[in-house]
Amino acid sequence: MTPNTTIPEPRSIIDIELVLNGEEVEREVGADTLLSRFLRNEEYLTGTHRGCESSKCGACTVLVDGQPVKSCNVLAVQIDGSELTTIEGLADDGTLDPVQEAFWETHGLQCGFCTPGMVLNATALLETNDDPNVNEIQNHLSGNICRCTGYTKIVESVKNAAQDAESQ
Amino acid sequence: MSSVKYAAPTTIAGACSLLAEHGEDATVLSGGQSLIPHLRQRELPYDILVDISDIDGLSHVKLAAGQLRIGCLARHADIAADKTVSETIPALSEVAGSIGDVQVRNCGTFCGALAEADPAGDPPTAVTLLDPDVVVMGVDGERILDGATFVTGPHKTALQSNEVITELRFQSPPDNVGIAYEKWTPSEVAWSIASVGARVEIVEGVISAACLVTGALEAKPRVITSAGNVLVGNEPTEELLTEAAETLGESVSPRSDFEGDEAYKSELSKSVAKDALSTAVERAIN
Repeated sequence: MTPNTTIPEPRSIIDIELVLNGEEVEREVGADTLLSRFLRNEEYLTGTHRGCESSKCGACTVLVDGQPVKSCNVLAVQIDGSELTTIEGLADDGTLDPVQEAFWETHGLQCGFCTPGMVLNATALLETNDDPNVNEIQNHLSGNICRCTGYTKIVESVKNAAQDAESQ
Repeated sequence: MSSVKYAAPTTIAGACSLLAEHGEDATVLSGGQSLIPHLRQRELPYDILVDISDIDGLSHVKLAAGQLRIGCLARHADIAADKTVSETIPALSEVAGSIGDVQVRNCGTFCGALAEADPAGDPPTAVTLLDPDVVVMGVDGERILDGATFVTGPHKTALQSNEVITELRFQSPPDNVGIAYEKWTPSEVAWSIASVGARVEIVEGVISAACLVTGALEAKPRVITSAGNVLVGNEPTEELLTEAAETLGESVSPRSDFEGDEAYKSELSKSVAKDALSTAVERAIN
């Protein structure tokens, strides 16, 4: 949307521009379209999982300008002008991102439903803290629920991702 | 949410004008962390969302004229991470950092949560305790309201429907004042069941002023004057703090719900109050 000083007319359909997984895109979105719905139903990026639909479970976590947010609790129109990363944006031409690799190697997932949110949130943590302790990892991931692993392997995966990054 | 329309004005006057034009059909969208779930559940009747995020100059967290000033677009994460806040009013930093989870704090704004005035929300209780100036702008111009009386009921505040909170201005507390905020949540990132904010002033080893505010227990944050009165004029001994905390617990009338009955919540509030008081006293002394 072009900023202007006049008062905009409320609209049902809004034009947005964003960088989606590295690609600049322009889209029309409904005023009531949730970001999770936009990603899954309009962009077919189905790696963003819709879990609780009430901002509790974190399965729908994506990165907006590098920061984790729950896409079930944000409108698509709110990310106008942002840089958005979904789980599909992490791997480079089929090669797993280091955090994905660490989850794979450490068995940091079982059913996999929470994994996109866990991986993206962990990625954001490691961007600001390259050597988080267990407590910091647990605190940071407290908005992401996993019903399979008991979290031990997830926390280990994040520790291993940090160590792998350090050793490289 | 099917009939929702959206507008993102770039000035605060534009936002107020839209709110005035559309009256009860319109509401302010900032972080949306409380608003969007309510809209999804069809619990709120709004058709027009006035997104204030594109308005420049409202996301500041800074010291000015001896006041800690927080703009209405400052997110919980901004406040929690800001050194000026943690050095000026550590309790405020802790409140912001304890709200929801990382994802919620990356979107939600402190002023938005204040305007939302959820009885279990942390910002309404903190603002009732800290009593900042609440700067609001409406079609008739700016008003400065008292933080201590800003929340008037569950999801109700002193805001007019065409007004937007633009800034909170907190006084920097003197060194002999300690402030603390504690809450109890049934699980990680859940809404609190009982919260207590405490402000204690100590002069020559004696408590000269004290204020305790409860949150989540009743329909809105409440100053428990009787508990404060127990403290004033006395040395902050362990026994005195316990007596004040017990007075607080006996003065509240919590609602019974699936999280616990009145007696349980009342008892719970005593230990939360004791923790808050102990930290506040420690901060006032050190």
